[in-house]
Amino acid sequence: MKKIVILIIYFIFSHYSLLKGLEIDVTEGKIEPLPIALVTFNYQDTLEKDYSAKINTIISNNLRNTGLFKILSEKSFLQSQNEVFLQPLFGDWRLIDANFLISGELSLNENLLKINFKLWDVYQEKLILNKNISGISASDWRISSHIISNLIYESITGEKGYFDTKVVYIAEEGEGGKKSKKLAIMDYDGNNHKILSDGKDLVLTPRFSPDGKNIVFLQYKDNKASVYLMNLMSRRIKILGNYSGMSFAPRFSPNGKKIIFSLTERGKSNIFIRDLEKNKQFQVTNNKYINTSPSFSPDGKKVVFSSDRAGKQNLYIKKIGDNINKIERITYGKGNYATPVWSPRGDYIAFTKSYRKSFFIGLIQANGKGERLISEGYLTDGPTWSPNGRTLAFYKTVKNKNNKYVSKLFTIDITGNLEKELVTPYQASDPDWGPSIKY
Amino acid sequence: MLFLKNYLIFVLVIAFVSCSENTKNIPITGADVTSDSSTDDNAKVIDQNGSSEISVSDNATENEKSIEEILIEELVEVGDRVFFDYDESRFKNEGVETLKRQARFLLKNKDLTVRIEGHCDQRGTREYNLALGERRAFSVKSFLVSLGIEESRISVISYGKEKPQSLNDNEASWAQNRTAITVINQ
Repeated sequence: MKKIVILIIYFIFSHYSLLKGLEIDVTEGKIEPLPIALVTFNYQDTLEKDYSAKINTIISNNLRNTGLFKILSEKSFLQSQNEVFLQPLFGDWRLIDANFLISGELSLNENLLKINFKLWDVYQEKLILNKNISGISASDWRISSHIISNLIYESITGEKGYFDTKVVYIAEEGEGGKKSKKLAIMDYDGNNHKILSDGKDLVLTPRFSPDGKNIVFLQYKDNKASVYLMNLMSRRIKILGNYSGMSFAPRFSPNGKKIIFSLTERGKSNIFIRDLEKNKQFQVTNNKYINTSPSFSPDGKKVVFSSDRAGKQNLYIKKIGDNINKIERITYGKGNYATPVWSPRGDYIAFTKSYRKSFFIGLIQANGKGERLISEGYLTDGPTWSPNGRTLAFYKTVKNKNNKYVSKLFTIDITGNLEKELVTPYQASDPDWGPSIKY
Repeated sequence: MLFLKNYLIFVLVIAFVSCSENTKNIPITGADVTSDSSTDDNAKVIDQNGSSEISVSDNATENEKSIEEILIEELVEVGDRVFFDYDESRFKNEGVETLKRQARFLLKNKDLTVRIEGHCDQRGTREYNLALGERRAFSVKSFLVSLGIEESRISVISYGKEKPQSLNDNEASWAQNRTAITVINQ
């Protein structure tokens, strides 16, 4: 506990290193969310008032979603909304324990939004951020809210914001074998939900290309399961290669030019890399076992995957280009280790572990050290990283009101303390967290 | 269509089946298992094949079945599936007799091609289960091939844990879901 108090004090006086601190402290106690005062942006007329309120809601949801911040109720504010933008009375804000203060003004001209906002460190009485955002069409108010949230998050934590990202996942309707599964895409917070496939063909495991413009996924067609690519703009799909076996478990390489996947042949599952430009492939594993769920390291030089070559499933790392038999095993604990996904920062590998009757989402360093389990549940799987490598999304079955298991998406901070549901209109599985959208 | 070409052969096969085994086992007489809706399906199948003028006029005149349906039912009686222990891809011992009967069925119905669908219970990760289902299906295929069925007549497909036979969360249900099912290609 002492360590956490120190951590928080450290954070208050040096707000650029919160998450660096967390990295040291990840296996310990709870992180107290940091109180922030978000004052509704000033406005002139009722139309502007409306946008100001909507933008305020999105920013506070975004900051709250990280689990790092507590948004103080406006009712507790002592200083008036209009005054604070010109000069905060820091004493007033310290009284309600606001560590940071955000205020701004918004105007609407010919359907274009103009926003000026400021971020203060209340205890240091210092202006940290003073930004103008203009030229945004009013209909893009949601995007501007995400941009503002990113700027605030980035200047407080020193980490890259991820509020303008998308998630693809499998939307499920019905039950059991009659379940219909469709590709779906939405903003990271569940907004702008869209279904991308008609549910006729079974689809699984969609994953984004690094530029967010394409996805790669598994689809059943004419009694054959194969990897397909979809362009998200045109919605056109095409099959990857032409294989007699089942191709599955696909992911893009970090430069987007290759797909790594598993391919079956006579009961075996081995890993291949297919070059999308040269239409050539390269075999990564070659044995009679199951080798699957490959994921590239962020530099594209290594691959982590799951294999049952030693009896039960464990995680292995292979350097691309090394001798086919040269391989490093990184897990030695009890249970089965599956579905590894390398963090975009390279520091951790997330995985699914099953042990006895439970399933876990866990983290381990690439050198096999520091294994930690951060979430438990019956049938949890499919971890995916936020682009800044600080939050994970995954799916888990939970019992609903009728005592039936339903599949839902969750997010969790890598500290493991801040698990929350990512609400979707349908049952949901196989999430993949995409990159920031370019404007 | 290949199916039409082989139609007479199929009829002969059925005649052969009828003679060689107890008539009470022949699904063609089992009118009571056919629901109204499947009669509709039956009609559709016949229409699709443009063979509505031909009918199987055996002792089940009021409830006609397509050749596929008859063969499917026969395969079910022979035993269309074998089962596996948790995380195992070698089928349980009782599957040996089932697969021997399947092999006899396939040797008898030489024009049939089948696919083996491998399934897993839900207590596994998605991608590993896809691989495991494939391995289960392949272990059935290899056994059938060892009994003399041409490799080219058997394809395999894995559904992992995507198509459970039973939805309950208990061992009996999971055991049903750890299976490889032989399905006639239509």
